[in-house]
Amino acid sequence: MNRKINSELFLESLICLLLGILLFCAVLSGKAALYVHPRLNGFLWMAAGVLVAIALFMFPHTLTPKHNARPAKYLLFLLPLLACVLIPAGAVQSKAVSFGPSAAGGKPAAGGNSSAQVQGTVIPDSVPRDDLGIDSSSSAAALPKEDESGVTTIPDEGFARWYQDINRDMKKYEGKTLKFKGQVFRMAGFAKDEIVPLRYAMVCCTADLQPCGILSRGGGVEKYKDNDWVWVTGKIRIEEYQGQTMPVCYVTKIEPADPAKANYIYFTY
Amino acid sequence: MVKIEVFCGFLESGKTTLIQHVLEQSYLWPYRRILILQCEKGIEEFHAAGMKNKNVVLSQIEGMEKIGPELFEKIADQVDPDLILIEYNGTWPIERILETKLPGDYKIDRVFFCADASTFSLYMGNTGSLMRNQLSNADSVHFNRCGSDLRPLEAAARSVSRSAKLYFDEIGTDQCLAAVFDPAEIRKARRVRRRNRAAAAVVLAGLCFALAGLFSSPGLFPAVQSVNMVFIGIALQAIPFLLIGSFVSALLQIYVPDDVLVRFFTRHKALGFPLAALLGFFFPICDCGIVPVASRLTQKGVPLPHAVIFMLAAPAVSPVTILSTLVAFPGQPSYALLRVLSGMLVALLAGVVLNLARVKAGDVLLPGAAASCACSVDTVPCKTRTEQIFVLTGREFISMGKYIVIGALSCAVLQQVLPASLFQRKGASVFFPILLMLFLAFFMSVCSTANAFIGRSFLNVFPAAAVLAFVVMGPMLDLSNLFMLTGTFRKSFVIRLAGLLLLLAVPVFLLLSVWTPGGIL
Repeated sequence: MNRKINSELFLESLICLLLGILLFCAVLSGKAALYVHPRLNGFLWMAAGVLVAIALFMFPHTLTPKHNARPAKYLLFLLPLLACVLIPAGAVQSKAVSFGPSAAGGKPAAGGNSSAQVQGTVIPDSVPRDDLGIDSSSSAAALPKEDESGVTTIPDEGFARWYQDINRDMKKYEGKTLKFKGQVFRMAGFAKDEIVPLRYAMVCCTADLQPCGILSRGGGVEKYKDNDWVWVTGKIRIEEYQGQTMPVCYVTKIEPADPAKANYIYFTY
Repeated sequence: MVKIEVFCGFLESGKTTLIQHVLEQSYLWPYRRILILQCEKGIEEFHAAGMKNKNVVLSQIEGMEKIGPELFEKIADQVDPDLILIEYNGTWPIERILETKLPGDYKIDRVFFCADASTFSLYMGNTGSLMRNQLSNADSVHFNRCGSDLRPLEAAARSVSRSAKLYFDEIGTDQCLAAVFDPAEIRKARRVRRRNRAAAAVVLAGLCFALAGLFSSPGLFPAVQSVNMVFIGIALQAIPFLLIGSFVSALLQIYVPDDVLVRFFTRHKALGFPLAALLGFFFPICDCGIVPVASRLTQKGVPLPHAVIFMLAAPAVSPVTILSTLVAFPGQPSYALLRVLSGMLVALLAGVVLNLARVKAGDVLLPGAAASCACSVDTVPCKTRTEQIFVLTGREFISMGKYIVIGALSCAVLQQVLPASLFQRKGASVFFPILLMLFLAFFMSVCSTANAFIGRSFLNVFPAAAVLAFVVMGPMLDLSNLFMLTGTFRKSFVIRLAGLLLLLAVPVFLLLSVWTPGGIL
């Protein structure tokens, strides 16, 4: 009991310091992008700076002893600190409720996105898109073009834009041959030759990841395990699937791929 | 071991009487020699006649500068007691004795704070940090001459010390003293403590084994990792906004005098509520940042309905949220409009109900949070304003952060554990989806700026009214916010508030669904 410092304040200051340092490291190493949208990086920088400043301001006060300090309550903060340091970043499991939205209607392939468009948020053609915050000029320009063999390859960084585009106007892609990369995802009720090669879209943080991809059907897909990265080449057709109109890719070729550089895709609205 | 017991409190607060009372107890006889250090001469004097232990030495300390390592070395040399009772001077800083280097086996065991109930609140208001520091270091507070209404005493004491035990009568005080001085009781307590420690060690070892199991078993580790990803994700995005919220709260505490804020909210009788609802427009922070601000407003004396309206409406009317809703529902500004309107409606209704029920802030605030005095400023004396703001922000951040940790973790675990099939039922009626979406919003605890994007993805499953319920009620009713509220308000109030919001939300959104037939706006 004969403490010569204020252990409560000392721990508070220590927690702030560690948290600040951790944030600095996370942003510098790019690890923060595994957990939250990169647009928060500025905030994280600020938070890290403020936390370190708080720790420095607090520290001198810890030298004033406090008799009845109860430092045990700060053990709780060990949890996030240790969780960050000890448990390496991994995949968010696809069976979680956060995928409930898209999985819910039995329309895994389309994701929440497309069906929302289908059911009511379809943008009338007459409305100029810029007014809605969608950069129409760049969205058109950035879409990949067909090469000589008639295959349109969607680059990793163009996935989000393409995905939005195909859900906005799937007719445009009907009959086209596309090549895109994604992680193998299956749901209960899928046929053996059905997978969704998908990317996860992050809106804000890992709590709101949404799977984005289109249903792909064809021979050869069954030998890839869940979460394997694959390049899929196939022709797009528009079909009814469990009561939903959606684009379906008929796979002509599937091959293993390197993981995409960015962990998630981000929609720019 | 030589135990040192410190008795502090104002002049004439009953310290001498309490020490005399201790000396008259029969359990004191096993002590070899008891030394009383009197740092203050009051009206009361010690009477040797009633003392059970005859080997009591009384010594006077005239000045604060006498207290130091030399004093205790001299005591060890010349008196060699095995119990030291110090009647501490109410005008000396308690740190003086706490900082003193003591001989090897000397140890400050307890700090008792004595208080005269009739003058306590008055003194606490006027004597500044000196008394507060004594109180904040006390293990127990002993009130004497108590009246019938103990609430103000409790509130005033709790505003300084959350952990000290409070005693208002002799029975409690006697038990407390016996636990400290009676050798038999001390032995019993030590046995209990040892048993608890053993139990804790066993639990800890079990946890370690369980953790090791989790890490090594191939099936479970991905699940743990997945929970961890979501947990850190939520916590990480909350940190900056929580910091901003704590910062605003600290600024409010330091720069804005209480009465200005209160007047601002209550100036217009009729306009007060709508004003509170609209004020959130000027606080463009996330819902996790608004809770500390709203708590501070209540502590500052803003009427509870106003503060609650502000807190509930702020996420709905904040410009950031409006923008994100516009973006999430492209081409359908009606969603943003409905979000703002229904958010304000629910907030206002909740405020009106609280107002009609005449719920007073004093009844629902935790005792420690009820005092409007800037207590934490005093317990950490600062030289400059900047320093004060930073220290205060930090303390607020840490105290609110606890709830973010708990909220984020439970949310992450629930996301992992709840089966997706729960949400696969297509709702035929409107009622069920609304409830389901409210339930989901409650557990997902998604930021108010992001939940429009998530809500939109439900449009294919549920009618528009249910999606709106999710988007609007999410920031008001979510798990981590409620946890945070329990840091300031009584648990019963937080639960009632959640229930009230649920009761209000269901009819409001049912009504909305009437206007939006078929679920499409």
